[in-house]
Amino acid sequence: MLDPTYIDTYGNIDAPYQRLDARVKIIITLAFVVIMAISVNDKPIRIIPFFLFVAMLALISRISASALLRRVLPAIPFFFFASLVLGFSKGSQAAAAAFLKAFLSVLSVIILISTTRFSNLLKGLEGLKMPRILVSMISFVYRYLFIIADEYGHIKIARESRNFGGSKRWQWRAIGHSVGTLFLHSYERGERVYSSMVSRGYDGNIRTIGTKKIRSGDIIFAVASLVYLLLAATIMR
Amino acid sequence: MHIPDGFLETRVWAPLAGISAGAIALASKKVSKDLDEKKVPLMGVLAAFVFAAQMVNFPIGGGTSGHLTGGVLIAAIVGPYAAILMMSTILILQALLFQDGGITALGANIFNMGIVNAGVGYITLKGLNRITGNFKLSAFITSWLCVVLAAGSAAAELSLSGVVPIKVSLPAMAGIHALIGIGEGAVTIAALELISRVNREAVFVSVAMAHERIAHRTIWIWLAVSFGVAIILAPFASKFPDGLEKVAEKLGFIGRGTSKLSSPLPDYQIPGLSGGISTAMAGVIGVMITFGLAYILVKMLHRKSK
Repeated sequence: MLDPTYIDTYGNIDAPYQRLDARVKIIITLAFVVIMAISVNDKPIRIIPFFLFVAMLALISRISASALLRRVLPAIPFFFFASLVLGFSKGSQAAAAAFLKAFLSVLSVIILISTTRFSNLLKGLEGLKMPRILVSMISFVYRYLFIIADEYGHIKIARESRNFGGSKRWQWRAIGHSVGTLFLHSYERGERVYSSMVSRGYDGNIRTIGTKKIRSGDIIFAVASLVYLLLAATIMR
Repeated sequence: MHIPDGFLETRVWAPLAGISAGAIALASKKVSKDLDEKKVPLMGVLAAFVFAAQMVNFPIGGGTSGHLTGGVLIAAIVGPYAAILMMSTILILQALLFQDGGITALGANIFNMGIVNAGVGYITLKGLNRITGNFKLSAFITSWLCVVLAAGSAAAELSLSGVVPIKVSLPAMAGIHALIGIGEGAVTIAALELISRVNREAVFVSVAMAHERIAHRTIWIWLAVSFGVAIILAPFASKFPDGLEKVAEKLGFIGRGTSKLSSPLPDYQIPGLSGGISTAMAGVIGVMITFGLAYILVKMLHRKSK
């Protein structure tokens, strides 16, 4: 699960969708998810134009259907049970609509994430005026999450090798101390990272080589997609 | 506790997205001002720590296990604003990278796990610590309470969207998280204990907090807020058609389902009073009883700890 390389595997393929500006891709994905959430109420039929849109995105980004499905698979049982509950209170139509909405939203996000290199995605988010502190925190979590999760793996192995077990209360205490240790290690690592960044001239701003300019192709694609999505929202009434 | 896309109605997720965006904006501003923005790398690594800590499993009995939410733990260490920012960062990444929680539901998830779990958690921890003077006890109660509150708020959001009636979702969600909360509380106090013992400087706030005094009136403000919530939300809750009851009636086992005990406030209504007023009054009485019990409990424990 925690293998960082699989996240943006398709970012380096030369395909039409990959060439788009990250900002455009983020806006389109957001628009897709929001418009679908609002317009497809309890009628599963209305999802068809949205399904076609996701299929188009998958096509122009050259992600194979099997790779996409493999990515969505872990999320499906949860959607299924949630919509099962919905089926009891609102009927099968609403349940099917909710399941499909959840499924397509996840597909569109997976397409966005796996075709955009993470650094470009962050730049895109910053270009869309997300608070800078949040963007840089996201970038740090992305960088260190895998390392720190690994570190917890080591702590866990050490704990297990010392005959971890016994009463629940004792286990909670031991796990709590593991979490505390993980915090201390992370804190030390954070200080170290910070001071080495300072020694390289970090002053609170992260500088990157200027942002890419939006090209006419980006604008055409964005406008066409938005028009299509708005039509899709109104057409099946 | 992560709500996916497609299950919340627009009138539920849109306002929550607004509230969460506002909270993030406020927290970014506060953190940039108070906590020295240059230390962002440190905060980022600590947020990665919370992310990893959320994968920590602990046994809750019956062969099942729960996992940490970590909001109260991190809020006790870095304070409420940084904690809300960290929880938001984590939830955004979970939605983007791991399909854990939806995009339209992101506001709701940040509300439940950032604002309710970490933000309200910090205030509760501070208040309880002031009343009881026992940091470990307060941290335990707060962790438990805020896990249950976050689960309850997720249940309420799903019910407002008509997924499950509140009478079904609230006991189910709050019930399982009342169990998980015990583990969360125990793990949180053990972690805080170790951290403050080993490295006192690492803890930005909590050690200072143990001595800090907050004004007594804060408690009364919270009581007033609870009353407000009870008055506004209580009539709302009972208005929803109860799907399970309907199903039960149809299948003919409703007779078996009725309780033999008579509740003092049947169906959250006071006999003899009608409609909304009665429900609101029942809510207020409920808050008063809860507050009274909590107050007595806290007083007793306080005396003991002396």
